[in-house]
Amino acid sequence: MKKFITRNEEIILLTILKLEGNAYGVSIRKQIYQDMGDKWSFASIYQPLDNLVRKKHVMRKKGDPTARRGGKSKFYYEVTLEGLKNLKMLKKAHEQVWSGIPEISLEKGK
Amino acid sequence: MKQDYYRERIGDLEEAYRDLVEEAGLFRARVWLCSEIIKLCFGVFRIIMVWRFVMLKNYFKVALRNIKRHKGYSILNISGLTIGFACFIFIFLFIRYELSFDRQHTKADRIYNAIYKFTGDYTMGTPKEAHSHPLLAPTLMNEFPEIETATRFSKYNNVMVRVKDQKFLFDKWVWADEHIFDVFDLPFVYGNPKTALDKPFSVVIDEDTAGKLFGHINPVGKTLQVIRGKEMDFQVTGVMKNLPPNSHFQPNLLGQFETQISLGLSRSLNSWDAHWFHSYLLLKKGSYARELETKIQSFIEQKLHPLSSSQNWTYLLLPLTDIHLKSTDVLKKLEEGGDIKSIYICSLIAVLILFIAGINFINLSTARSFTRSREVSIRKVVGAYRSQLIKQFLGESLIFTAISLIAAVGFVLLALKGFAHIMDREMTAHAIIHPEFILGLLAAFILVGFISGFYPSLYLSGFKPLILLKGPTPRASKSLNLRNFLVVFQFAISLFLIISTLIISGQIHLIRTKKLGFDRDHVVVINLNDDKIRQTRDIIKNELLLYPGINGVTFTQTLPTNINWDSDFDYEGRGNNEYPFFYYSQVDYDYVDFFNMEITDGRNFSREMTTDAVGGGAFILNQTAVKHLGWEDPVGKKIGFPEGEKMGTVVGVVKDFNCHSLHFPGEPAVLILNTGPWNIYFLSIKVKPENITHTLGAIEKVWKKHSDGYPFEYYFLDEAYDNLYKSEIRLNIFFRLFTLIAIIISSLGLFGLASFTAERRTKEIGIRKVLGASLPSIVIFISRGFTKWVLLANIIAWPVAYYFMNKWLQNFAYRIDLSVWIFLLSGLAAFIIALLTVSYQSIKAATANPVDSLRYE
Repeated sequence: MKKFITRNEEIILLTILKLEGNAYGVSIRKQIYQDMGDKWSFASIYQPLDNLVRKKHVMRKKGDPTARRGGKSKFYYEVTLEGLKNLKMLKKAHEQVWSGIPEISLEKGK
Repeated sequence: MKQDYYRERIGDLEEAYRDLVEEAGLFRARVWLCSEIIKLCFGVFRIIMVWRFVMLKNYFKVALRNIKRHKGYSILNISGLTIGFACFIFIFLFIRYELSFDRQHTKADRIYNAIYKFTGDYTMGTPKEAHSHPLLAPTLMNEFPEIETATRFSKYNNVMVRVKDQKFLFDKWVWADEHIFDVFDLPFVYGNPKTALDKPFSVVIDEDTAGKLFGHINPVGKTLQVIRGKEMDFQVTGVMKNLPPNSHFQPNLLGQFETQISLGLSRSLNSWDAHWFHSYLLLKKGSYARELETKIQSFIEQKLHPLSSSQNWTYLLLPLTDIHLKSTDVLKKLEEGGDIKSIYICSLIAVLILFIAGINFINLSTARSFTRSREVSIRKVVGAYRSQLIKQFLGESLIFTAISLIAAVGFVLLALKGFAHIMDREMTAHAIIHPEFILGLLAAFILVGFISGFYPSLYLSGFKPLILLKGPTPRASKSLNLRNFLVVFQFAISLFLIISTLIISGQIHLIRTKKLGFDRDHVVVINLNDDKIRQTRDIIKNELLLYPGINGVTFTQTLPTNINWDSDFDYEGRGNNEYPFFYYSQVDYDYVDFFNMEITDGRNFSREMTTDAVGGGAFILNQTAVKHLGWEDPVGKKIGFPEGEKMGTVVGVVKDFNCHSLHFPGEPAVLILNTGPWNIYFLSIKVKPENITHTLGAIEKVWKKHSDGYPFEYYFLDEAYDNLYKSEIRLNIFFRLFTLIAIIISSLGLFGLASFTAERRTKEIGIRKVLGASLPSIVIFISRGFTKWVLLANIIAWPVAYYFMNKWLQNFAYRIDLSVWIFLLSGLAAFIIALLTVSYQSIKAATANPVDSLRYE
């Protein structure tokens, strides 16, 4: 069986991809808010983020310290090849599962 | 790395915080920050838990590896503990079952059984009986407001019932009044308990009986025929649920109370002379039984004694829940019960065996310590705290315990049936899912796991790493002492059990072989309930005697193994109110010859003497009875029942025989000639030992020809005799089984210990051999230590066993001597077992090539 990442991990991973190199804690959170309208707590961002790092889907990179952060460095995240592969697999699976679902059955849910 | 995480997170928070301050103001930002920090803390907490788990996983892995690597050790350890646990669970289940008797009634704690007590001083036996006078229950109910209600019933054994064309024999029919449903919980499946026993000739049956008689339909309103000479119709008015097996009161059919008079079964229900009922009182809430008992006793003396022919009786109140276990001295109970003593013995053995298993565990773990000393040292050097090591080893012992416990539960589930059979109880596996039981198991698990793991973990974690890493093997003399002490203790327990088993077996052997004053070999007994057979007794006798395989035939009221009819007697020269209380049996002409008893004075009953069968009848007394009456020359004297009937004549005296079990000393017994069809309950047939099956076939043919459809069911007299000692025989099996188990467990432990000792001394033995020690001298050298311990164990076990066994033997009027030989023999047995266990290892060590043993290192 293929090992998929969780939904939260997926959201984070896509957000990192979208931010194109400017992905760090605060910016990820902001982007999620813009896209989904939910304010996530940092705790709920770090947990999937740590998991992704552990699974080697994401790479951490130390950035420069800024004054706004009290002199602490930023940590940027980048999606690895592994992560991309997993995303692709996930997308393909999504499309295959969703294909052939008639509109009418979705209409009922409204 | 950790620092980086910390930096990142704090940095992110600070940045977001600053953003928020600009956006929403200081206050909102601060509230947000607080909530964020709390949420983060949860995350960190989770991480700590994960690391804990990782460590646990490591411990677990190491434990499993250890189990795998030292297979022999693990098997010894786990099997010892498993056996211990299995015994413990079995006994626990048994005790729980025994204590659960009669508790299913919601008012159980307020129900009391009236026990008849003989207060005269003529007899030496135990004149307490579960039988009571018929009027007792209603009289007490009217007299004492403390009694909410009372019920009485009488047994009607071996009832032949016909439904359509099928005949059934029922053993457990009682005549009960309607109050029985108020006192006991007897839930109905069909019918109404309030009206079920109102009309004569109604009967309530239980589900099993209903199924047997009518199949799976509602039988209320149907009729069944009771065969007693003629047939009588009974109407089924209710079906009650089956009583559980843990109930001392187990009737299958309840007949309406007054009907027994219509059937001619009971003479009068209004007499204070005879007692054959079972009476149960339900006390009101908050009343005291002891107080009531005293009141009842004084009431009996003042009001009831004047109505009765005898004044030598009173009543006791026995709580319902005590009937099963605490009434061994009460005769004529509804069902034979257990004994609270056996509960104590069982609990003691359970604890002892668990103890032995625990000791094994401690010994093996500590003995093995040096093989793990390197692991401990490395862990310490790398930075493990002592508390962590203790945790690790405790955890390992818990793992061992858990594995053993699970194995033990599985074993118990498989073997429960066999065990229940040995203990003669109907136990089921249902008890295992009971929460109380699971809690008990958990308690045993924690107790054994922690206690037996605690010492080894302290011991192992206390090693000094430097010494261990440098030197070869630790020599902690202190722990050796404790270990020796534990082994001594273990062997003392085993010895105690061996001695007890030998003594119990000896006593049972004495019981089985004792000359009782009558012959009990090759006697076939048939219980008689059949009036037709009783009426044609002489014809049947003659027909049976025609067979060459049959030596004798006799009809009796009771078997000589247990003469349980008793009465007051009137006799020539009696003082005022001095009625002696004798056991008696009505017998046939040839009874004395049949059982090969010895006449010491006068003559036997005789058909030639026509006076024997007329008037008050002929009596033969045993020597004890004559002694009680104080007669010098008993032959020709008059004796009889006190109820004003004609007195009979004593024609002879028979040598004392054991008319009860050997628990009781010789008791006064009276044999009365009976030639009529009444009061005969047993047909005894003496057969030749050859060709018994053939002879039995012949007897069955005669039985079928004359009987009124009763099934041919027989047993041998020695079986009936053995039945008197059921609990002792069971105890014997029980002790043998658990002694064996205790020995096995102790030997396992000793075996393990010996192997470690031998292993640790490999080098020493090698050097000794090189210097010229012979094989026997090395074997003796290694075994010597163990010998000392076994001797010490003897010294501890002997007095304890002597004390307990002496106490147990007090139960018997006839008992074996506690000879020194039993003790010496058990000591020798234990010694040989220990030697054999140890010798395997010591011989192995002694025969090893010194080159190998010296080279290692």
